[in-house]
Order: sequence, then C-alpha cells, then structure tokens
Amino acid sequence: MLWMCLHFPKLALEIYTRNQDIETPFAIEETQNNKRLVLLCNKQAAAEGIQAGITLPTAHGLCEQLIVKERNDNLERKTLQQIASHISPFSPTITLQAPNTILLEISSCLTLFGGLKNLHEKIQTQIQKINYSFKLTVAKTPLAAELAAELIEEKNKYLINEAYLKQIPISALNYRLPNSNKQRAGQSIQRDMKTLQRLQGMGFRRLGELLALPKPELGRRFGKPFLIYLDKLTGVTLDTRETFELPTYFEDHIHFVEELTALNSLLFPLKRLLTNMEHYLQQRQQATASIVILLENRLNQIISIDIEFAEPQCRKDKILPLIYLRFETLTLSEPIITVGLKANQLMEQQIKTNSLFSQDSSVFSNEETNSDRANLISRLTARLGNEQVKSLMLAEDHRPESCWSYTSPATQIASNNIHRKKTHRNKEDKNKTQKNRKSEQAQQPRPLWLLPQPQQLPYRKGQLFWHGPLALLSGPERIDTAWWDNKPVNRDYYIARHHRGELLWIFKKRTRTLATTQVQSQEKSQWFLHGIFS
Amino acid sequence: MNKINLHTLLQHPHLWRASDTPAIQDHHCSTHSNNGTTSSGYALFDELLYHNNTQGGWPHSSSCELLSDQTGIGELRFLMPSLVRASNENRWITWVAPPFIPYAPALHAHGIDLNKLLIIHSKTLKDSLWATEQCLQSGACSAVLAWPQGANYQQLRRLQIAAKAGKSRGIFFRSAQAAKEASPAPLRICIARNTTFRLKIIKRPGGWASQSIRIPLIDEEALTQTATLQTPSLQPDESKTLNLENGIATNQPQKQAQAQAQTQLKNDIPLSKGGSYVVDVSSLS
Amino acid sequence: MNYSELHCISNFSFLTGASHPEELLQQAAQLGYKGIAITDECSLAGVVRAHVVAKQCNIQLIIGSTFKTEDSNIHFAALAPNRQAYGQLSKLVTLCRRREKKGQYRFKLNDLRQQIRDCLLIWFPNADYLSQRHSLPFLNDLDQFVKTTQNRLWIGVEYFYSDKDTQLTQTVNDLQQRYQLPLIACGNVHMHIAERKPLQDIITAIRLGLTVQSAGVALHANRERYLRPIHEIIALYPPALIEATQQLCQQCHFSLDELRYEYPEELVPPHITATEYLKQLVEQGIQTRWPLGPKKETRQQIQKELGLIQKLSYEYYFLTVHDIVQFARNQNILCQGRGSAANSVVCFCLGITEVDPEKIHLLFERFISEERNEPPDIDVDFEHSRREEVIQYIYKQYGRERAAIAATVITYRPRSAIRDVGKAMGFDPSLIDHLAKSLAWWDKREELKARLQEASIDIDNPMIQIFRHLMEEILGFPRHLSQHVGGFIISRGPLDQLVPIENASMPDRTIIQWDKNDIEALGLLKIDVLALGMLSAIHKSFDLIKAYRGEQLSMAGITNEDPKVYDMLQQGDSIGVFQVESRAQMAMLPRLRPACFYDLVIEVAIVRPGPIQGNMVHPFLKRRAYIKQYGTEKVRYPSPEIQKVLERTLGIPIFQEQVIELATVAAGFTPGEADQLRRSMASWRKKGELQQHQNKLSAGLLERGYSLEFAQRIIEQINGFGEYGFPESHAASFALLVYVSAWLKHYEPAVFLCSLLNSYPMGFYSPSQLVQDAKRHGVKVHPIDILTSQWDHSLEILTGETASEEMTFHKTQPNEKRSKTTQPAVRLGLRLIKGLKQQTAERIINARTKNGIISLDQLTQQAKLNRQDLDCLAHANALVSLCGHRFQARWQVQRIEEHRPLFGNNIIQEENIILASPKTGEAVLEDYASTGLTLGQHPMLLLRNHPAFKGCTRQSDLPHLRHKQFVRVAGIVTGRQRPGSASGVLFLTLEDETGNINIIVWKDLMKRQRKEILKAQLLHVKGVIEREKKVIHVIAGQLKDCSDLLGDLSISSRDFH
Repeated sequence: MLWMCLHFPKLALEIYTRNQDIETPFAIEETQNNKRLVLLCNKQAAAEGIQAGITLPTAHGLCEQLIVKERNDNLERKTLQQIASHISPFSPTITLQAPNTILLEISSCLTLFGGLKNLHEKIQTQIQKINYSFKLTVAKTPLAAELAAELIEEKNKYLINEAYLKQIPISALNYRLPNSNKQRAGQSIQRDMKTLQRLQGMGFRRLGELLALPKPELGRRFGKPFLIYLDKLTGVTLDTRETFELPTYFEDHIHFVEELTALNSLLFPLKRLLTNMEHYLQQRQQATASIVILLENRLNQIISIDIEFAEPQCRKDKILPLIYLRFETLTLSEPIITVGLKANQLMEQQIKTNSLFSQDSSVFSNEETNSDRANLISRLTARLGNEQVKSLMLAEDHRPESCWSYTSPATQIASNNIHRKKTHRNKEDKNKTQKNRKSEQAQQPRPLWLLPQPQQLPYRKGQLFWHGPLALLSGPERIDTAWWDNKPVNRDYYIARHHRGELLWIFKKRTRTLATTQVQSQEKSQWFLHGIFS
Repeated sequence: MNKINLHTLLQHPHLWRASDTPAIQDHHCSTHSNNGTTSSGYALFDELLYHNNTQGGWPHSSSCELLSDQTGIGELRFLMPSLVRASNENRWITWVAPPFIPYAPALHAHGIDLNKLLIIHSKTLKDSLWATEQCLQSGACSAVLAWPQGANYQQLRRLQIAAKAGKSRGIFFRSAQAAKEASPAPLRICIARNTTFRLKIIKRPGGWASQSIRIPLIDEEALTQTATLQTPSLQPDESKTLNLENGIATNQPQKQAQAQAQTQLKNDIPLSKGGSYVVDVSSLS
Repeated sequence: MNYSELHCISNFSFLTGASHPEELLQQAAQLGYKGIAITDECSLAGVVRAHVVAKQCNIQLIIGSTFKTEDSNIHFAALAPNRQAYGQLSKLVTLCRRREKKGQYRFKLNDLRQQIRDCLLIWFPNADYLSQRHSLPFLNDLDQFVKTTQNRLWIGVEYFYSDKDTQLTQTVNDLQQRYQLPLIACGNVHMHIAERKPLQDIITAIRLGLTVQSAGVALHANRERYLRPIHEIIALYPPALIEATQQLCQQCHFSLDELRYEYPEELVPPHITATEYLKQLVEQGIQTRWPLGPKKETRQQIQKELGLIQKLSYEYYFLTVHDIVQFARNQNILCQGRGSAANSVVCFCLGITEVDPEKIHLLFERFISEERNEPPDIDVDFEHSRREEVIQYIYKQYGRERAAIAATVITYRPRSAIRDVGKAMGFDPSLIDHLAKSLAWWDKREELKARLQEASIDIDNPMIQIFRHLMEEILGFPRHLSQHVGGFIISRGPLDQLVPIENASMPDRTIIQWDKNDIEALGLLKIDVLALGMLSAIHKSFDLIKAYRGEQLSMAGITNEDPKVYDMLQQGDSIGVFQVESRAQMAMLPRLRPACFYDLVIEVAIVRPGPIQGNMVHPFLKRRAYIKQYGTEKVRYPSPEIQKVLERTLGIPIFQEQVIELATVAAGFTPGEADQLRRSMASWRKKGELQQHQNKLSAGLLERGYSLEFAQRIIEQINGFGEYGFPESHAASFALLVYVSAWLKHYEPAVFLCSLLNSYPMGFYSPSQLVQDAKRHGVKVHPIDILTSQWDHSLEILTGETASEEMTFHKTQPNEKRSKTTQPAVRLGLRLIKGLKQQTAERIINARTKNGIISLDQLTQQAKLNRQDLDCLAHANALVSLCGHRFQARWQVQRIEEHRPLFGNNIIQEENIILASPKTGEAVLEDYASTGLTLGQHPMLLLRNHPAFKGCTRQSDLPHLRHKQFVRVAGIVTGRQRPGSASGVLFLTLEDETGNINIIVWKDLMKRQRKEILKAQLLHVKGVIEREKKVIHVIAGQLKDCSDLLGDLSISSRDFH
C-alpha cells in the first residue's frame, strides 16, 4: 500500500481568491467557542499584521479596510469534491478527509502511470492547473501521509520514510478525539490534545520515543484507540477509509443542429430532458427542490432560468406547467443552440403513507390540501415571481408599520404543519402562548386597511380634511419608540370620522423622537392618514 | 353606560367565532356542497339570502360582487365573520391586488388565522385576472377577494366557472357603475355608508332585489364612542351619598364633551379622551 | 391644584426603574409636587436615599412598596402612614422575600390577613380584567382582596395615552360598580424625566435577556411613565382623583427619622442604668490599664467622653461593641478596634483597642459629633480565619431576628455596563467582549471614547453616541444587593420591623435591604466585624512559637520599641510586614527612617494618596531633616494654637483629625462644622459643598490674623486629602500591627513565613515572592513531599540540631539572643498544590499516619485518590519519594486508574521503564504552574544567557549604577499596581533571580504599551535609573514582552522540519 496525500491548507480562503486577484486585505473568519477568529488571510492582510488566530475586532483594529468572509463549509466541501473528481482518473481509491485533504491509494496504479516519479509529476501538473495551493506527500499509510502533509515544508521531499516519522513531535500528532467524526462539518480538526499533553507530561517529545516503548504498557496508559492509532500510523494495522464517490446530480443537454428561434419549439426537447430527469429521479427515489434550465444562444451566452418549487418534485407533469408559466413571461433575443436541464438540489422522496389505503375518507386530508396549497404557490410564483406572492405574519413591535410583515407563503404552510403537530402533543403549551399573545396584542381597535405610506392630511383653520372635513372621535394613543433604529416614531394616533361615515386612523407627528430632536416647520401639516377601519 | 370595545364584543355569546368552534362538523358540507352556504355573521343579511330551505348566508362555490365607489366604508368588517370561519379551513384566503395593505394585527384581532392569508401583488389587470382564476379553480382557496375593475362579462364568467370548479368563493369588489351592467355572478350587493353601513341586494339566487337595509357592523360602538370614567368617590370612610353627589357634579361636563364629540362641529374638532377631557385640535398643532 | 405621585418605581426595583430615588425626589420637588411615594417592588432598599434628599428639598416622602400576586392578577401599592404600618410593611417585604431565593419574592393573597393592617393600599387593576371577569376563581381573589383591605383601599387610575387606557376606564367602571371604591390618580412612574426612556428600554431588555430590537412590546410604547408636570396631570385626570392624592398624603405622618435609637438593651444587668454600667466597666478597665492610676488629663478625658456619651445616649452602642470584643478575647481570637471612637480612652479601658491613647493624640469630636447627632463608628478587625465565630456569636446573642448583615449595593461599573448595554443594543458579542476587555482596570470612564476608537468604531455614529450616553447614565445604577463584608446591624426589637430582610446568595445568610450608608444616615447601630489576614498570621506565629519554643507571646508583650526591628524597617526590608510592604511604603521607609512607634503611625498615614497629592511628604521629610540638625525649637508656628495641633507632625497636617482641629482652633469652626468639612472631603463628588467650606475656612483664618499664604497652603493640603485622608486613630491601630509583624519577621523569619503562607491569601505578595524573600533571609524551605507534608505549611527541625536545645532556648533569653542559626526549616504544605482538595489531603495524611505508605498503589487505594488527585500530585512533583521525578510519576500514575475500579490490589507486573528526568527549565515552569513557586532555579537564571537578555542588569547589581544611568532589566512580572493618587503612573514589579526590581511606567508609555503591561509574564525593560538614597526605581522607556521565551524552556529542541 502506498498513499498519496493532497493537502490544501488555504482552501477556505482560496475558494474566494483563486480566480480573482483581491488587492485589498481579505480574511476568512471562523467562530470557535463563541469567538470570531481569523482562520486564514491573504498576503495583503498579512502585511497589515493580521494572522490566523487573532480575534475579529483585533483584526479590524489592525486594518480598517479588511474584508472578512465567514467560512463557507458547504462550498469547501463541494470544492474538495470537485478537486477529487478532477484527479479521479489517477486512482480508483480516493478518500476525502474534511475539511481540506484528499488521499489516494496509488500502489495499484504505479505501473500504469510509469512509476511514482511520473505519477507524482502528473498529479502535480494536474492540480497546478486548478490553481489551489497544496502540499503533497506519499507514505505507507494514509495517517502518515496526512500528518506529514501538514508538517512538511519542502516540496521535493515528498516521500515520507520511517526516519522522518520518528522525528515528528508528539505535539503535532494527528490523533483525533474518538468522536471526531461528529464534529461540525468543515471545522478545523480537533486533536485529542489531552492525550498528547499527557504524553508530553511524561517527557516524550518525538514519535520515535513512543514507538520504542512496549505496547502493553503504553496501551494500559493511553487506551486502545491510541494504540490502534499508532498501529495505523505505522502500518501495522490496515487503515480502511470510506471511498469517495462522484457527487450525484442530474444534468443533461441537447445540442441543436439548427438554431431554434421560438420559445415554444424549445418545449419539445425540454420534455425529453424532463423525461430523462424523471427517470433518473425515480430510479433513485429522489425529488428535486428546483431545476435550472440552461439556454445557450448563438453568441454563446448562457441564459439560466431557475425554477424553485414550493415542495420537492420528481414528476415531469408537475414541472412542465410551471415551465409553461415561466415561458409566458420570457422573450428570446437570439436564437438558441443548446438547451440543458440541471437538477442539483436532490433529496429523498417523501413517501406519502396514507395515499391509497388511508382510512380517512375526508376528501381534503391535511397533507393533500397542503400540497394543493403549495402547488398553487408554485404556479403563482412561477409566473408572477416570488416577490409578488406573499403571506402575512405578526411582529412584536409597537410601531404600526413594523408590528407585522410580509412573509413567504411556503413558510406559512410549513409553520402550519408544525403548528398542527405541536397542538396535538402539547395543548397546554398552546393555551399558554395564546394567552400571552392576547395580552401582548394592542387593546385598541386597529384598522383593517393600512396605507402603504402615511398620507399627509391638509389642515386648515383648525380643521382636518380628507375628501371632506374630519372629526376626531377618540385619542390620542401615543406611540413613541424605536430610538434604536433609523425608523423612530413619535405619534399621537386618533380615530377620526369622515363626514360620509368612514372611520379613519390618523396620527399627528410629534416633534421630538427619542433618537433625535428634529425641529419641524410649522407650516406643513403634521397630520397623516395611516389606516381605514373599513 | 358601559362602552365596550372589540374584545368585549367578540366575547358576546351570540356572536359566532370561528376560533371558538372545534374543527367543525359541518366542515365538509360547508365547503363541498354546491348549494351550501356560510353564515355571514349578520342575521339580517342571512335572512335575505334564505331560499329553497337552505340556510341563508354566503353561497359556496360561487362568486359574488360587492358594488360601491368607496373603499373603506366597512366592507371588510362586513366580510370578517365569514372570513374568520373560512380561515378555519386548511385553504388559502387570497387577496388579489388589494387597494391597501390588509392589516395583519387587525385581522388577527378579529380571529383570522394569518397562516391562511395569501396576498398577491399582481401589477396588471391581466395578471390579476389570471391569478384570481388560478386561485379559484385550484381548490386550494376557500375565498378569493379581488378588485377586477374593468373586467368584462366574459372574464367574470370564467371566474364564476373557476369558483365552481375549485369549490371556492370569489368576492369581487366593483364600482357602483357596474350595477347597471349584466354580470354572471349569482349574488350582487350594493354597499354604501352614511353614518352606518347599508346594503342592497340587487341580484340573488332565486329572489328579487331587496330593499336597502342597515347592517350594524361589528365593533362599530368601540370605534365611534369612548369610555368615560365614572364617579370617583373620595374617601373610603365617607358615606356613599357624598360619593354620588360628587359623581354627578364631575360627570356633567364630560357628558357635554361627549355630546360635542358626536355632533360634528364645523370649526373645531372636538376630542374626548378617557371621557375626562376635551382638547381642541388647534391646541395640538 | 396640588398633586402627589403615589406610585413610583426607582432603580432599586432592579432593571425596572430608570432613575435614582434621589433624582425622583428632586424632580418631584422641582415640579411642585406636594409629596411622592417611593414604591419599589417588594423592596424598601431605596427609601433611605430618598429620605435624605426629601429633607433637603422639602417634599413629603411616603414610604411604600408594591406587590404582585404570583399570577399577576392583583397588583397594589402599600403605603405606610405611621411607624406601626411601616413595621408591618417591612415585615411583609421580609416575608415575601424570605420565601424565595435571592432577588425574587412571592406574595400570597393570604398574607393580607395577617400583615399590613395599618397600611393604605392603592390597587392597580389588571389590564386583563375584562377578559377575566367571568372567571370565578379570579373574582374570588378580588373579593378576598377587597374584603381584607376594606376602608383603606383606593383604585389607582393610571393613564399613559396607551392603547390600554380605554380598557382601564372600562375596568375601573366595572370595579366601581362591584366594590364602590374611591379612585385616585397615579402615574406608575419609572423615570424622573421622559428623556430616560432609552435607558428604561435598555434595562428592560437587560432584565429580559433580550436586545431592544427584539424586546418588542415588552417595552413601553411611549415615554409617559415619568414625573409629569402638574398641568399635564390636570389635563389627564378628573379633579377629584387628583384631590384624592392630597387626602391620602394627609393621612401619612411617618418619617424614617423615627427609627433612630433602636439599640439593643439587654446587655445591662438588672437594677442598674446603662450609664452606670458603662461607668463600672470603664472603672474596671482603668484598674487594669493603669494599675498605678491614670494621668490627670487622661482622667479628665474619660470624664469628658463619658459625659458626651451620656448626653447623646450612646451607652448601648459602646456596651454592644464591648460585648463582642469581650467574646473574642475569651475565645482567644485576636482583634483590634479601629476608628476614632475605637481609640478613645473609654475604648482603651473597655479593651476595644490596644493603642494607648496617651501615646497618640485624638479628637473625640471626630466620631461623636454633637451637632450632626450621628452615632460613632467602630470597626473591629478579627483574625480572618476565625471571624465566622464572631459572626455566629452575634447571631446567637441577639438572634437572627435582631441581627443581620448590611447589604452592599452592587452597581454598574464601566465593564459591566459595556457588557450589558452593548448586549441590549444588539452589538456583536465579540466586539463587546473586546471592548470590555480593552477597558483596563485602571481606565476611567472618559477613556471609553479612546477604547472605541482603538477598536476602529466610528464614534460619530449615532448609535455609538447613544451607547456612550447610556453608558454614562447607567454607571452607578444598582444591579443587585450583595452581602457587605462585615457590617452588622443590631436592633432593639425585631429587625424585620425596622428594615426588610432578604436571602443572600450564600445559604442561610440573610441581609437587610439597606447598605452601610443608609444605616449611618438613619443613625442606627452598626458595627463592622472585619476580617484581617495579618491578625490570623500573627496568631498563627504565636501558636507556632509556643509549640516550637514553648514561649507564649502576646501583642502587648512585644511592643517594646526594639531598635533592631526599626533597623530592619529603615532598610526597606519589609516584605510580608503589615501595611508597609507595598511598593510606595518600601520606598518611603529608608527616607522616613522610623525609629519609634509614632513614626510608624506617621509612616502608615503618610504613604497615602491624600498626603501625597496634598504635597505633604516632601515638606515633612525636609522638616524632619531640619529638626534633626537644628532641634525642634527652630521650627516656627503661626500661633501657639496651631503649634499645639501640628507639633506632633512637625507642622505638616498629616491626619484627618488635624484638619478638623485646625478648622476649630484656627478658623473658628464648631466641632460639628468641622466634622461636616471632613465628610464633604470624603465625598469628593459634592465639590460645591467642599468649596463652601473652603471659603469659610479661608475667611476664618484670615479673620484670626493668619496670612493669606498660610490659609491657601492649608486649603491646598485639605484639597489633596480628598477622600483618601487617613485618620490618626486608624493609623495608630495599624501601626501596632506593623510593629508586631516586623518583630516577627526579624526574629522569627521561618515562623513568620510559615504563618503568612498559611494565612494566604493576604497582603501584597505572592507565596513565591514571600518564599524568595525568606530564602534571601536564610530560611530553609523544603519541597512538598507526599510522605511528610501536612495540609498547612509546617516547621521542621533541621537535622543535626537537637530539639531539647530548641525547646529551652528562649525562655530565659532576651531578644538579642534570638539567633538565625536556630531557625527551623519550613516544609511546604499540600495546600499549595493547585486543584488538590483539603479533604483529599487529609485522607493522604491519615493513610500515612495509620499505615505508613510504601507505594503509589497503596497510597491511591488507602487515601481513595482518583486520577485527577494523582495528576495534581505528580504535577506538583510531590510524589518524588514514591515514584521519582515528575515524568516517572506520571508514567506510574497514568496506569493506575485502569484496573482500580475492578480489583484494587490487582497489581500487574510491568516492564520497568526508566524515563529521562525533566530539564531544569521544564521543572521550573511546572513548579510555577502547579504550586505558584519554585524552590529550584529562577527562570531568569536559566534564560540569563539568552540573546534576548544580552546586557541586562541583575537586581543585585542595580545599586552600583548611577542616578539617571541607562539600564536594561528583565524579569517575571509579579506585580502591577496603579495607586489612585499617582496621576497616571503605574508600578510594575519584576522578579529576577536576585530580587525584585521596581519599574515605574509613566502615562504616555502606558498608553503606547498597554498590551505588554496587561499581558506580559516575562518583561524586558529599557529605562533609566532613578535613585534616592537606597531606593532604586527604573523609569521605563520601552517594554518588550518576552513571555514566549518561557515556553522555550520546555521545548528541548527546535530543529525539526
């Protein structure tokens, strides 16, 4: 067995910087024990004195124009997978070691690639192409290769021998906590520092010193997992790893021999692609939360059309109408030469348990109406866009314009589901929260119509007008709050009656807010219409 | 006398409240029978719609029109009891291009489940009609409120068909002018407001046009009248007669104030607060 | 129309009210309110402060408190119209508070049946009333409430222009119909001015653990809960409701002034008056203190003191203190009274102090001021390890219902304010953390701006400005009540009818709701039972000497003005000695060269911020040198009166008493006025008040013919005193302990070291520094050893010396014969080991004495040690006699646990592994980490040849350098100190292998090198020598943090890669 290790020490940074030169100081942060620390930074930042491990405020203190991004585990993982697929031709056995290491078993393919030296060169050129900084080592065991990759500085000494291993300091050993697999994905490796410190506490400094000790004595003191670690490191025990499989998503394209100019003529090839996708998904019992349609025009520009579903879908007859809807609002400026379909948000299909043999005779079971509700949302958003289809929710605020907000209808369906489940389980809780809600609610009547913007009311000779004179019925209710953000209010609200009988919710602006002391000009009316009691 | 506000009113035992009823028995019949109806919450109005031995109220799987040139005259409060009931179904109550923002705190206070509200901000009549039709026929909406100004007979007919297909209720707000035009909607009501909310049915299933009637809207009293603090008595150990005397004495100007508030004065706008004082609006500016 | 606010929440309803009680009172008075009630929630903690201000601004204060039932259905205020009602209210607060843990309370409706029968109640009906009025249990509660409080219950009407006003009106109307109760206008005031609303929001958010952004409707919708101008009140409420407030006020007559003189009485035997009994005790004291009879003046002073005591009825006070001190003496607990009253002749006779009043001058007016009519103030220090016994005695003697510990009001300080306000404003947690940490312990509040700028925060940002403003406002806001260090209040009747008692966080501890100042302001009996480490150390020394040499010493027995002791002090050789061991004191000793007891009194008092800032030190030293040369008669005083006052301090006022006396004899102040002067000196905040006194003083001096120059100098000196002035009486009490501890250090250094270490924590120095110092004085110190060490540090006879010689040595010999060759060695105790519990150590010692330990396994088993214990022992290198060095010990320890749980004695035969022993550097570092000290080589010695320290001078070589000479030094940072007085100067102490180096860091450098000063463990300093006689400082010019090199000591090689 021979293992090659590819270690990408700056992966978290380079996923941002690899393809573009960032001239300004730039750093990646990671939160550890509630502290926001710098994980990696670019040259420019280092020149300002920023280094890994310092806290974010300190970093900002050192360099004002520092740009900071939070660590993106997801992207790192995907990138690592990409790199892995990139080098997959070199070995059938590839293993990913989160967050930034790839291991290849190469003994079986040495002859194929003409020996280690050739293979090394080939892989090196291959990786240099994708422009990530990396370290490369080759050792008898994956652990040794990994360990050396983290430590080694010189490029040409990539082959790790036993002598080198023996010199490795105890403090640098990559002995991980037994439950290290459970650690948050992407986070830096958690070593079992306790054991390592114990070892150093006995005066051991180098790995070689440990290897010289009798195993039973060592095992009695540091436990079996540690012995196994040493054995795996030195190759006494086989280190089996989970092999990397190429990521799965659906993607398919059709290239046209003749250019297509009408959108409608795209539908037929799209149907074919959808059939392929449906087949693909059904085989895997998967569904997708969205699809992307890629159109390439003759100028080689790519138009991508994202369609998101309110619920994961797998059937083309559910998806096709949504595509129709979207096409209705679309125009083509250039003829199309390629159409593609991509589905990469794959997830397990929800199996409906009560579909066929359900004892519930009710026509609209909750699941079914929920999915009807969701389908409606998908259709509406497909044509009108997400921004135009909204639901409402309450917010805890005294300001009339802030005590509610729009929300996505999809979350309403979800919360509805959760709500139902919860009420089943814990009625008492529900009562309690409802009671609380009640007392938090405003006690005065509120209008059913709210104006999007308060509308100024003319005020003449002691009289307010809005399509005629107004009379105040009750008030004021004083709302004077929110000094902490840029929308403080200080208003007296009244209910007013229009001469035709409409009841209006109006307010008078008071001059001082808690945040600022503005001086208002006296001429303009400070009265506004804010709602109608309809 | 005791003044009451929305909450106290909602607690009135004769007032039907959706949230009080356990997942209703008549749920299916109310949503699925073609000639079923939902009580409007206003007995007077329900009575007008009584026919063929069906209980009077808003018809299901159908569309109806509310005709007026004014917005905000009480049309929403008029609909509120039935919408509260509709929000108990696991379907959307959809508002297509409403003229103002449906105000969530007020809707919530009336008892509407906000999880069931869907607001569509379509920008053109075409989109609005399309969305209204989609919603009505989808089967996923218990009610669809729309303001189809300028829609023609053909389009309204499609909507009526869609409502039937989707077992939904379309509520269309149209101008008073539309009363003169023919409409496929089986129920058409003119609404207006003077000091009170009034309505007149100009078309109903199996009946003639009705007279104009006054409908006392919910929480009208709470909105238009203010509570007055009653007679403070001074000492715990003083006699009751004294308390009463005191009370009458202090109460007098307040009553006056209230009377003032309710008769509209031309020049200054009277204002009463907690019943205990009156402020001239000019003093507030 | 008159109005009184009867519902006011101050910031003593913690994190609810947003104004100090004082602010509320002042604002109410300014608005022309007739009266105001402070009604904190189940608390009377803020009322004394309000009371003090009420008297100043002439407004009626009504004492009250609000309560809520657990379900919040009933909320009311109870107001106290008279003393009886006040007692009931206090008792109810106590009852509700004692039911719950610290900071919480529980009020039960049933409480009303027994309690507060005489209180007037205002009921604030619940906003939820209308929705609940159909619930029968709810109505039953209301009925019960109204029924039990009939005829003294009002309904409070509170309008805030809020959405609930209408509902309140309806609620009140409904309740009116049901119960026919009178109505009254109230304001539920949470702040004195509307502008406090942002702070009110912030503290609400803090209380709820939210940010203001997320607190939503938990915050009030507007800022109407403030003290509104009367015209607004008139606009809001019907006149009858406003009138009602006046009628209620007229029924209230109670003032906190009525609480005075509630002293315990039972100490006086039957058939004799307190005055007579006190006289008897004093007479007995005279017999023992002066067997030959006192001087004539002393006799006169006693008569004068007793007369004043009788006149002001303070007999019980002195009797109580006497009783407590008597108890301590009987229990062989060392104690020492402090304070001017403590050093009166009466107290000397009563045994409260050991300081002979004939040796020092004392001003009796200082503590018993006839005009202020405030009770005397005596603090008594007890051995810190035995103070608990005294506390328990007080509880036993007076009962828990009559004795309690005063509260300390914990208030917002810059750091806590940054954390809480920052969090409530939704700032990034790491930013808050950074800010809070960057605000060093020496920073003043003004420096927040600079710190914000350092963190590159835009200080012009409106939110940051608000943040800074809120920070300013919240500083000094009470957060919670804590236990005072030792202030006891003892009352005549049940204490809970005097002041509410609540639970402290310590189990079984209760505290009252008032702090020290409150008690003082009301003139209640208070005695400070304080703990003093040095008293413990002295007692332990005496015990050790007795056991070791068979000689019983006492404090009085060794105060014999031994010149060798003074010699030692004159060298500045005072590490470990009470009070004079600080950096500044050590620098002063060689200059002042104390040679008698009174010199020590001056030494203690002069090295204080007051005298230093008042520029008295140099003139004093100069004067002293002058007198030495020319004699006292050459000193001129402006007048004989002044000569009398200042002669003992060579014409320079050093003690507070002298300032007061000067004011009386030279400026014509009455003693009472002079005492007021002292108080305004102490409370530096009231600058205006002090100014008044100064004008008067200056006028008085000029009037009596003193020169303007003299007057100005005196005033300047008084100004400098500030709050740091030290009374002669305190100084004298302390000087006694200085002498005794110095004597022990000189004659019994091993005993002294042992006792100091066993009394730790105390004093200025770490155990390491104490051990270093003792070693330099020739004391042998032995390492911790599992087979010989006790829990405490102990003495060991050096081998080769016979015990019998030791035992008999001292009985017959005078001091001079005490020889250092007879010093025993000190064996370090197990208590030094970090992480080892005392119980564990005791199990080890037991196992050892029972069986004799021969192996690690045996020890582990018999002393039931776990892995953690063993790790601690190995870490501290305490297992040498069983296993060898640390590495070897750990190798053995590490194995132990694995088979222990199954079969204790299942010993596996193992291959014998010999591990290399730790390098010197490694061992030293581990010594420090595990025990805080090393007996091995000093880390600086090991690093001495490191290139980083090239050219560094050792401490021992510093005396060879010239004044102003450039120097480099390096050492472990053992002390950081920034006296409040020294304007911006910071003292660092570095320790190298030869001793302590004193570094002075000026303000500029401090700003530039904050990080090094705060963080560095090992520091390299470039600077300039500053020397005056034997005192050598290094004025730092540049600091370099070399802490990394300490780590290098453990890394054997750095050649990897």
